[in-house]
Amino acid sequence: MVVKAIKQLSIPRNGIGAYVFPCKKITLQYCNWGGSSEGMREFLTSKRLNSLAKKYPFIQFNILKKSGHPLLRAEYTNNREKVVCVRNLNIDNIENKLKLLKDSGGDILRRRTKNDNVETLNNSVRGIWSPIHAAFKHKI
Amino acid sequence: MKQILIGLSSTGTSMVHISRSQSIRYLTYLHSGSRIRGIKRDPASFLKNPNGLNYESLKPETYHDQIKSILRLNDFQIDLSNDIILQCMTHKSFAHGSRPYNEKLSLLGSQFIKFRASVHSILHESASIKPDFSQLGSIKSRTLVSRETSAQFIISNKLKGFVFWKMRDPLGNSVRNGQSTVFSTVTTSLVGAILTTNGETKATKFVDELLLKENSNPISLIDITNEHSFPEHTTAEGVRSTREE
Amino acid sequence: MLQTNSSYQILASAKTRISSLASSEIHLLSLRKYSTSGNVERKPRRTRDAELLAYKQYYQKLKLLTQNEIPNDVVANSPPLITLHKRLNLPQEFSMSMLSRCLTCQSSELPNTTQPSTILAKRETLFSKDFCDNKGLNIFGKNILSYHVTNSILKKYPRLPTIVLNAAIAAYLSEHVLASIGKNWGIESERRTVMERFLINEPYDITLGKLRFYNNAMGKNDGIELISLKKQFNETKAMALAVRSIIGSLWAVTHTTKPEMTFKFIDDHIISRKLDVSKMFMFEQPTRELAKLCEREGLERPISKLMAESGRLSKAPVFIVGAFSGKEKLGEGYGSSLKEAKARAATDALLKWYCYQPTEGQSPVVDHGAVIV
Repeated sequence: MVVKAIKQLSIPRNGIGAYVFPCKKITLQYCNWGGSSEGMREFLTSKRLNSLAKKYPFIQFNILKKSGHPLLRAEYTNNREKVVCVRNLNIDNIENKLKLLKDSGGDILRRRTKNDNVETLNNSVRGIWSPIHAAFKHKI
Repeated sequence: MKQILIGLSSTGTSMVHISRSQSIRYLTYLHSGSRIRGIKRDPASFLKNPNGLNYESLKPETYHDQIKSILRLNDFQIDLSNDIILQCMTHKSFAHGSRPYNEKLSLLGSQFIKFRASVHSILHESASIKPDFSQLGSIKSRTLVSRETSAQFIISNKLKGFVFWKMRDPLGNSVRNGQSTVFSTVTTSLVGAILTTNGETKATKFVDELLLKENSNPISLIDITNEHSFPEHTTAEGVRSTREE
Repeated sequence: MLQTNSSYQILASAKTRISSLASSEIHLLSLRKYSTSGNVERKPRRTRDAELLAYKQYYQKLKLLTQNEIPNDVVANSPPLITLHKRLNLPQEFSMSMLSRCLTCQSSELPNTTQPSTILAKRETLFSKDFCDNKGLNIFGKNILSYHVTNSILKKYPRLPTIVLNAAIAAYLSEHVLASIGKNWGIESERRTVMERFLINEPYDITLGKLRFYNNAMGKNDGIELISLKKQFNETKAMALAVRSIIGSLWAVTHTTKPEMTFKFIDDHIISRKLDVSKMFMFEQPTRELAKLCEREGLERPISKLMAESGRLSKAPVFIVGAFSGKEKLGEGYGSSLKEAKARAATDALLKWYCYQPTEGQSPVVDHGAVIV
């Protein structure tokens, strides 16, 4: 045989075919005594977490009581986690932070440079322009 | 194509083919008899299987129809063209792979047989209605899909003479020649060909009702497996007990 | 009501103000580990013997749960299992007990007694036959996966050479790929010893919702560890086992009602991954192989022709060469020398042959096999 194989691994494309929600676990940490947890305690006693848990049954919500400032800790399927400190935030701000974590894909935030808007695994549909193949040749 | 017969060497007659299909005219000397390195061989000398059957002059009534009737393809309404049947019966070793061979069909077919055999094991060998996965991986279920069993299927059903392959050593025994490897590809590639051309439904029916049925005609894989004598410890616990040692 | 379609637990002391205010639907757990604040009510102090007895009971109960079949009522409300079930969008018939079984590897069986000497001696060797593990499920899942993936690749690329076909199957189904799929599904593995879990009073359904692949009756620092065994069976292998088992059991629960569902599941989760087969070829003698291919297929002898060039005498020349059979152009390649461009052109022609994709609705293609030079 003259043809040989080069080993490769297939690359996951979440959302093509099945979509697995990236955020898998959110831990809400509060303190029962500290004043900075006021909003968090209010959030936990309200119905908001219940409705969120009903709406997103694929996320595991853990509630953790620990002294110190309240935290939101989200774990993602790419084995990363994001932690947000929610001290002195009111109930609405906490819910917004929670939704922010829930909607995140877990990747590190990056600033994109200008014109770096597309990232793809596929080849260019249009092809790459080649001077040799161009119908009209420029004269110098 | 024009053929001119000329006597050249003392070893035997040789052929010269002149082809005018292209603008270039070229001559090829085709050698037969003892092998000489670097010289093209006459196809007539290597296009034969170990049984003496000639690849070029096969007749449908004595070859393809025979195979179809042994495998009862008509009973399953399976339509396989003669070319594909011949491809299934041809191993990669035959004629240095210059003729269509069964390698990939066999790969697909063996995967399909393994899948159906495991389905058979979990649904039919369990006492209850619920699927039972405990028998998978036992010696018996591994024998069912083994290379030797599928090779024995060809031998038991008298398909051996139809297979086109090349022996590694015509004087050596079947183990040295890798006979079971070659014959097992024939069984599996037939399934692969049925799966590719006739669809999964018919292939499932064929495998379940012909290859995986007891006391059937032709002799099935299950019958061949049952002929092996299994001692007491051949169940799943037996496998575990061997691991203990 | 809530517990069936959501998972929700409180890792706090049961008697705090928050949890008493929270509705009764919330799953309450009292976990001592997390109760670090001062005002938490502690368990009544027990004597050493009573503590040991409690541990033994915890251990035996856990061992008993994995015998024969994991009871569904124990794991029905397990948060890790429910979330995994929902994340994968598994059907209703796929019970939590089945899912928990998929995460139980044969090697995780707990030894019979809690005596350290017997644990070490019989570890990894003795498997009882009624242990409810994923061994059979894994074998079945492997069979169904390799069949379906082979069939799909062959349908898409009927002319792939066997060696490339096998590499393509491995690119979808190798252990590392399946393990990464399992991680992306959010399967977590159990890393703590039974003792640690006992001390924080963890409910069994948390343990049974995690991937268990080694006998964690003892911790890392408690005894001698066999390094060779660790090499043989690790988290990657266990994760692959769990993924195959989930697919195998999905077939088992849906084959009568929705027979296509498992194949759709495999298509969605595995075949949908990106793989460029044209990057998997390495030709040693492309021109020779192309010549042989043309001879076999009854095409005219391939001839390379120079189609364009630039800067032949400069330091950066470019040549474009086409591989022609008669008037048909089979392939084209570029290169900084004529030889290089010729080889690229032949490779291009071969790739176009081997990576041929039939269109939709075309009758099935049975390939004659790769060219043997």
